[in-house]
Amino acid sequence: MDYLKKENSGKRAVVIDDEEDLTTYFSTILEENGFSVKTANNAEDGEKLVREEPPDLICLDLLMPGRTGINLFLRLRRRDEPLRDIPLIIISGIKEQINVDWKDIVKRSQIRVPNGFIEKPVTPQRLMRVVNDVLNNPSQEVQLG
Amino acid sequence: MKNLTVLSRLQFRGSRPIPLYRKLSVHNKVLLIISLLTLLLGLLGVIAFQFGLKVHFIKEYKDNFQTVTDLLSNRLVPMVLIGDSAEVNRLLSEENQFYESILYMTVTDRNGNTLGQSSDQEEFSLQYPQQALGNTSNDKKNSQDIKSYDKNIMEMVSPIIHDGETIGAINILFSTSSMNTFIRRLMTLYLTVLGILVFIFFLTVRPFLRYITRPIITLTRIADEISLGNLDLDIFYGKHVNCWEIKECGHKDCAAHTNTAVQCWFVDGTPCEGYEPKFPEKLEGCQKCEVYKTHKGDEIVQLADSFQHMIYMLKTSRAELGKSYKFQRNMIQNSLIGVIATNEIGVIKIFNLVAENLTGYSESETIDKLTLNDFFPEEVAVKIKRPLIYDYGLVLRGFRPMESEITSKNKEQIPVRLSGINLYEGEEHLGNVFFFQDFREVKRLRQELIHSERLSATGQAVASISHSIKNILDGLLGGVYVYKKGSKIKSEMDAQKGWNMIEKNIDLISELVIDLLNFSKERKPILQKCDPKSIVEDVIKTMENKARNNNVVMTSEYEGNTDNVYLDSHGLYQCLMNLVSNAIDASPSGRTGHIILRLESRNGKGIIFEVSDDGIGINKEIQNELFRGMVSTKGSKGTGLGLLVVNKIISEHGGIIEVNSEENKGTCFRIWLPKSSNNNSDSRISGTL
Repeated sequence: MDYLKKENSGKRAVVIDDEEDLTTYFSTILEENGFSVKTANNAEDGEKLVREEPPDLICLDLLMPGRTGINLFLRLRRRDEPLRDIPLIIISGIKEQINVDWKDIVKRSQIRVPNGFIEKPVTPQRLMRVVNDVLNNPSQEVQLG
Repeated sequence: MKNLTVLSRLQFRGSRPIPLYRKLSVHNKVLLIISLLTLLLGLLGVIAFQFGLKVHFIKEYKDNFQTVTDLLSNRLVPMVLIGDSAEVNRLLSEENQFYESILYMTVTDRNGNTLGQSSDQEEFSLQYPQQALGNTSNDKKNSQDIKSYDKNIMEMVSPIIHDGETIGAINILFSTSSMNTFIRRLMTLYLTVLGILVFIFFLTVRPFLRYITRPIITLTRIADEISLGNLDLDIFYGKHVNCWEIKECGHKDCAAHTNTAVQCWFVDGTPCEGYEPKFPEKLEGCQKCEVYKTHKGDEIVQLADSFQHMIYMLKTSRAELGKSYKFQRNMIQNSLIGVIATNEIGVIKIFNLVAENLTGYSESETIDKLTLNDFFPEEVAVKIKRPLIYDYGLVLRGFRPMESEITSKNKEQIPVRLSGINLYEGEEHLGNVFFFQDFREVKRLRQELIHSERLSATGQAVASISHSIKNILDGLLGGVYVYKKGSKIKSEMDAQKGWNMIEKNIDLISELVIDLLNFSKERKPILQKCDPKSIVEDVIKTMENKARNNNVVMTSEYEGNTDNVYLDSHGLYQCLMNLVSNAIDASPSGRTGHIILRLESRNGKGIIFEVSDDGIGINKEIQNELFRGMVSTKGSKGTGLGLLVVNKIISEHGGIIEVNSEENKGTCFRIWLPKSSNNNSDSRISGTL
């Protein structure tokens, strides 16, 4: 996978997850693949990082205490948001309508759906496959069921 | 007291002799009295008749002898004047012989000296020794007098008058035996006739009296029949009058129409105009009615009417009572609720079908044979006496529906929902009545519901915690990944970092598994005597490290005597661990958080645990849902399972948990646990951990 390192070299990524272990895990995988990674453990800090230095990729968890990942996602995808085209991958344990029907929220908001979606647990291979798919084809959107 | 009662009964045993008179029937009494009166009057008549006859005959004697003495005195005047005693004697003797009834005659001069006598005085004295002879006093000489010496002898004194002067007196003793014989014979005849008359009267009046008293005897027998419960009696006295025929009022819907059981004036609600609707008020009006007048008889008929009415009323009342009894019995017997009623000392008096089906006893096996204690726990006998309702004074004793047990015939304890009422009529305690429902099905359904709720909650929990597990799994994967990377690039720091991640997530998954086990398991708390203070201290010790890492300071407070408390120490430890763990997770970032564990004993009534923090707090919406489902404020870190576990354990203790929280100020969880006795704990140590 060394080719990926070169390909992604110099690219910036922001990983936002309330679980510190997971930000460490994902950032380690991304750094291993040439990314320069910044991490945040809540939505507020994550948004700050994104706005300070807009990254090439955002990895966002949905369920977080305080402002949730869905809230941040909706903000970053607003029509008047200059950062709305930054590729965004949602990494979540939520698969279906368990606690939050985020897909329904996205549909009703008539905004761009996430570029990628990874359901936990995450293996390095799956993460990087989705990351590369998203980066190689930024117009790709997740097919919402 | 019992002996005394027996003794007093013994004293009155046997019957005192009843006077013969009281044994007689009324007509015999009347006969006896009439006969005695007749006899008495007869005897009085005898005496009066005899007396009258005697008076009559004495007058006759007096008149006759007056004539004799008048004749004699004319002839005696010269003899008395000259004192010729011999002539006097001769004359008296002649006269004496002439009048058979004269026994003895004497003549005295004015000085009272005897001038002559009809026979020798001594000879007469021998014949009639009792008689006083010649003792006629002077005062009697001036007037005629008659005097009785004996029932058969009388004396008459008559003066001898010459020229208006009494010169002597004639004494005549005469026999009245012929008169007495006549009177005796006459009296014998009279008494014989009287006896015959009484006998004839007795023979003729007795049946008549019996005829008069027969209705009384008949009514007495009717009363006896009524007292024996026989009301199918007909009384025929007087003629039953049919008001509908006499009045021709045409009211066919009237209760008296064609009613031959009772006369119309006894029937309530007849539509007759101007009458009161009900007996006896209507009677006054009815007495003026032609129907009543047609029927009106003597007192016996009226008495019979009253009897007839009484029977009619008794029949009506009995029919109504019977109907009411049947209705009530039917209602009780077929009630879908079990009913057992006892008398005041607890002996079973009512035992309905549900009770039969539930216990396996038949009604005949229980009524008057078994008691309250054969069916219900001892506490029921105590609870039934407790006041239940007050309304300006005690109205009702008993107890509201509660879960209890009933003992069946085969000694099985069947769970029931039981309530009981103490029955009073004024101050008199009548008994108790118990109502119960079979609770087995309800209990089973409740268990099923709890089970299904738990399954549902568990399912929800599984779904919810799968998210948490995924995070933990990612943490483990991440740990392994980072550890491998560290090993690969020989970075001890990265390897250690990876290892810490693995350890941390193993701890997390352990906690999760324990919570899951605690929540899903069917268990009863194992109450053991323990010191709750030590539980609090254990929790603080265990959580110290996590608190320090999260910049939280934990303190404890104790109030009251907390010794000798029965608790499931393991369960309480788990509760406090979860609450403290939550409190640490809720600690504010950027400053030191504070957690206070407080333990308070409420004078033996129970104990209180409090876990309060000054963390981020919980919004109202989530507070309301805290103990109902998987609610967490921790995002992917929390499942909400911990609080469900806490709630479950507290409920199992019969305790209460409440939360008081304000966003950004802090949260306080308060657990109240009731005091449990040792006995209670023994009965409850049957579950497994």
